[in-house]
Amino acid sequence: MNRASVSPWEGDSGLARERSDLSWGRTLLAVLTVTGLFLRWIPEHGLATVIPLGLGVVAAFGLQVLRRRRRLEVLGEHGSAAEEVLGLAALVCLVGLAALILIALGI
Amino acid sequence: MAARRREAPYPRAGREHRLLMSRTAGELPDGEAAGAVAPEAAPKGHGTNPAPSPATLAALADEPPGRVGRMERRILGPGREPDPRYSLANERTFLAYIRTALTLLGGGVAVEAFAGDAIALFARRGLALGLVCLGMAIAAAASYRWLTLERAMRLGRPLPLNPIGFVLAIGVTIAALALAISIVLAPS
Repeated sequence: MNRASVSPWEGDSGLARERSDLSWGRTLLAVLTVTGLFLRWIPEHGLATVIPLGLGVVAAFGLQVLRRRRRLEVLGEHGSAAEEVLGLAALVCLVGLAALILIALGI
Repeated sequence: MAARRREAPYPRAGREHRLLMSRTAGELPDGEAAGAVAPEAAPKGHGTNPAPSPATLAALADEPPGRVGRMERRILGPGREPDPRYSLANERTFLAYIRTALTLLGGGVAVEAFAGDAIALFARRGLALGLVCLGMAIAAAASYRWLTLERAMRLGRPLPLNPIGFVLAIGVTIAALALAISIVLAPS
């Protein structure tokens, strides 16, 4: 058999893909947990808390979009995680920015 | 048809790499004589994972890019598409670092939100800002780490050392010390 014609995915049981998808899910839960902590400031800052809260929710939504894209790529046995990785790092920095805004509001 | 067998890491990275990896596992591929590649003659990588020769790297650089998009091809650079299981493992490692970064962010937020008057105001703010900034730095460094590992795997190069764990350990140690000192010095 021609070695070059063999798909690199051949022989894969699918468990590695499942673990990776679950890992994306855990990361989504972590983003939601951090965003949930922002609710603590509602009694102190009122409506101003909506901005960092909104940033956190946008980050969680973006993460879910990236997760779905990556899942389709992996199931389709093509593509690389490059864009998803860079996108997720940017989203986490967005959550960090939201946290910095909240801390700065108290100064 | 010959039975397929599991090969060393990066099974598509070339004969030289497979041979060197099999030597570390105490076995030799079919048809290879012991001592075919003397360890002292092999190019040096780190640990037991020597770097491939310049000729191997040049051959890999001319490989077709695999089934990735144009943007991803530009990000990843030349080389062969690595075994997807290793790519997925690299992705999960990146996600684990991201969750560590998110934990640091959450820790910073929690210190500011719940510490109250237990520690002095400037210590609380400083600790919160430091943890959040450390979390953001870890997230950025994790994506760079993912990229360098993916590029190394595509070229069949040895995996680079990981400085993020060291930075993380130093950062968390400093934060823990600062918190402990703040609690001890807090006005009672």
